[in-house]
Amino acid sequence: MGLFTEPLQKLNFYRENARKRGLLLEYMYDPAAAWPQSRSLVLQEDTAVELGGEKGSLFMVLWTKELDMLCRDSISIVGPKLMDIVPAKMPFAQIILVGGEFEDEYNTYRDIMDVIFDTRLEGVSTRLWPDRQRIWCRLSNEAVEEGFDLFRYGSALLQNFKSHSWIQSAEVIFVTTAEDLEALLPEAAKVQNILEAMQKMYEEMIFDCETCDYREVCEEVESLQEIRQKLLKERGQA
Amino acid sequence: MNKAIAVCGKGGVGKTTIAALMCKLLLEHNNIKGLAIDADPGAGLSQATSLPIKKTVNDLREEIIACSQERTADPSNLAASIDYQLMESLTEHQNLAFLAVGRPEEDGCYCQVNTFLREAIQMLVSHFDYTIIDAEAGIEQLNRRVMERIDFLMLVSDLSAKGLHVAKTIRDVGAKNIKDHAVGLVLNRVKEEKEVSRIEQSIDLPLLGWIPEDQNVNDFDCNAKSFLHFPEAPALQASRSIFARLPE
Repeated sequence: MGLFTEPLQKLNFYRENARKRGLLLEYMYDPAAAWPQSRSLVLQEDTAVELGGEKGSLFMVLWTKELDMLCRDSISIVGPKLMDIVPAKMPFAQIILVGGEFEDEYNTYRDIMDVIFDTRLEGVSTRLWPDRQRIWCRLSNEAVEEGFDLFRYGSALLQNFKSHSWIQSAEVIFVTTAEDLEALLPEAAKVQNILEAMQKMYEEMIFDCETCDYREVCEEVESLQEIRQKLLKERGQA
Repeated sequence: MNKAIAVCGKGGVGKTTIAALMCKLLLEHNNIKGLAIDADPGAGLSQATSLPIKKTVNDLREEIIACSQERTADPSNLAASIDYQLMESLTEHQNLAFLAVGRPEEDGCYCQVNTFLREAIQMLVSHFDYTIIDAEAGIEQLNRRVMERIDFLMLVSDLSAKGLHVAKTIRDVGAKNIKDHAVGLVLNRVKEEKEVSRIEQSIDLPLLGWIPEDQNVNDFDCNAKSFLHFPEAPALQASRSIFARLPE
């Protein structure tokens, strides 16, 4: 069992359900489709489409060693694809699943976040607030006119993930409907809770479970208990 | 092109008016992305441009410190979240974005937060063609709190000996604290052109330009009108020639 086995199972169920409802668009990663990368700041005046922000957003990262828990090297879109978007502002979720061989959960998270932060797309301003699971993207008129869409966004992210040898595959899921975003919130809260508990263990020297806010999630997620034991041993507190 | 210009000078010499006129000029060039930073705790530039303050840098700083204290933020993600929150704090008007710094920092050492904030502002500034900073008189404080890099110090003075003395002091402080920057003097509220020649010959500061006394400025000030709607009057024309002389 990995840190995110249960949320990944739920996401698989969610993906399957979206497929049955006919809401899922699925693409395989194509390096040729990856949107060009460079740092951009898009002001309101130049914005064609705003994703997330005030319309509601969700950002989630999960990783696993069990590669069959994700649709390898794929980009899934639940809801309207960018080219179909009529309103200039819409809700947005970006969910990133990473599969690979790794030793340390904490450094794995850092490595994944580094890849995401370093993915800067031409004509696109992306701002992340990982601790609040928020994301905000502005797409410039020029980028949209030149054919930017979520498949090309996902391809750029996957291209960057694939440059890391420990990552064997990855999947990006975009959600662009308020109902689906809402439906994901309970699972997102669970993921955030696991992340915070894991980070707390790595960043603190004292493991006092009696007073810890994350006791419940630690008791529930086996991998968190394993991390605790490993860290206690490393720090000579076992 | 990516220039950060700090408008400095003694209190009351018209720094904010000149910064606001520079903002008006940035709006005339819609192919240029401009950022205006109000580094004055009194938020004078916000009033002079009628650009509302959504959230100041110091509000942001306090929120981040509170998040850190409540353990609701991962320190490693802090830099990224500041980036997000800074964008949320910008007031945007056409090709001009506006950010207010707010009141000075409170006591206490929050070096990491301050460093992240400075870096985030620097990163934000690097996206804009021009950044105009309406500064407090003390350039040391401006440098410490807002930005690592300033390309041009626009030293504003009226014709008084005190105003010119403060301009020279700021020039000297800037020379000690800010790397690789140019300076230029702007004389404000000039009644007679011959006064400009007199000062230019007697002061060891390069003259960037001068702005004549203009009744429209008083009218806009007294009636709290936005300088972004300033008419094609002498003060704006003089500002335009100053803007054109800014180093590329």
